[in-house]
Amino acid sequence: MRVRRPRAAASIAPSRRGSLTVVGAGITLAQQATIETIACIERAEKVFHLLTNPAAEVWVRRLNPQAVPLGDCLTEGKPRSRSYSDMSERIVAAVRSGLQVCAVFYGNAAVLVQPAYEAITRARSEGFSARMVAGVSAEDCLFADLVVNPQGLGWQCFEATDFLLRRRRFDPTAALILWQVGLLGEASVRPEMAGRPERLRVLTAALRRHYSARHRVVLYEAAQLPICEPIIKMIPLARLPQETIFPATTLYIPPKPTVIEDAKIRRWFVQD
Amino acid sequence: MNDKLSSFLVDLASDPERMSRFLADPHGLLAEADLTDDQKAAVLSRDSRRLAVALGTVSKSNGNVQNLSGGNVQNVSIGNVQNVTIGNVQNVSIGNVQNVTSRRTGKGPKKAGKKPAEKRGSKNK
Repeated sequence: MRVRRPRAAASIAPSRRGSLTVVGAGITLAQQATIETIACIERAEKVFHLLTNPAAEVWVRRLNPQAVPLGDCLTEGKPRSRSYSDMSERIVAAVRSGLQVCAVFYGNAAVLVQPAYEAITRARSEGFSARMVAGVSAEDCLFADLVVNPQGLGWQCFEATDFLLRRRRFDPTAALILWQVGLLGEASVRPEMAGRPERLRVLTAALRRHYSARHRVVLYEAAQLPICEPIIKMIPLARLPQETIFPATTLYIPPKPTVIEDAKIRRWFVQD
Repeated sequence: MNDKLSSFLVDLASDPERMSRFLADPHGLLAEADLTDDQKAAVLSRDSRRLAVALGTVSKSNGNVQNLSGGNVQNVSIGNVQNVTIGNVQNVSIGNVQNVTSRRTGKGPKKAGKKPAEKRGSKNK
């Protein structure tokens, strides 16, 4: 049987000198970057980064003094979509100039990092080699820190605004992860960002159709510094609107119990 | 000012021996560090919010995110199709989040959320 190559991979047909590698630095400072990620940063002729704290920026600059931040693209009142577009344009402009470029993002650049995707797509469409290196995501940290394993629980995840906007259908008997609960419907960035209680009430009401008010949910934030613990706060679902929820906070909703089993599939386990 | 604290934290994160020294004798290592008293206190607290304040990524007033680029780099995907595929194969079946064990200090099981809740509450006043 012929194996079909993914479209993205098929489009890697570099015809020009500049190149782009997008990497994720992981969540915890320095310690979750893979050897491959570190090598990409060190070898690049130009490095761009969007990270969450100054220490991470110092770490990248130590690996490559050519590193420059992208954070200035994010300004108050400016649509985030435009900020991300500006970031990707800045990255691809360096690729066009013939440089071997590395773009470093917080967490796993392959998970919900729009400028990373935009930069890769633009660079490839212009005939440059562009690839993404997997990193450690907040979700990876969540599973480890909460000691939950999706096998036997199932596992669904949505960006929280998208979850409400598209009225996503999901199975409450499988675990549910909602990203960016503190950024519900936020088109831009502003100082002192936290979830707006009135929007958190809308989210809570949507979830209450499937879970009881007392269903225990977890507000989670992975540790960004290796000397810190992750922030894990368990609350009843009904209390969600009263909580101060930060942009980096993830909502983990444990599954409701289920007893449904397909008898035919169950029998597979006892067949020779 | 924050560069010194950042450098101190990067040194710790990048050097397992240094990290071991810190974990064994934080005061000893900090005595050698070129940090202000506030920064040293933040490091000793090992409290992520307090350290974020010391690093300048959050405001002192409420411990909330101030740095516009900080906190989250994940994108809201309104109107966009995300190319995220989840394809993990997992082998163990545990679903209880009550028995969370500290992964760094090995302090043993604790009630999930109790301590962070107190910490966060005090920061947000």
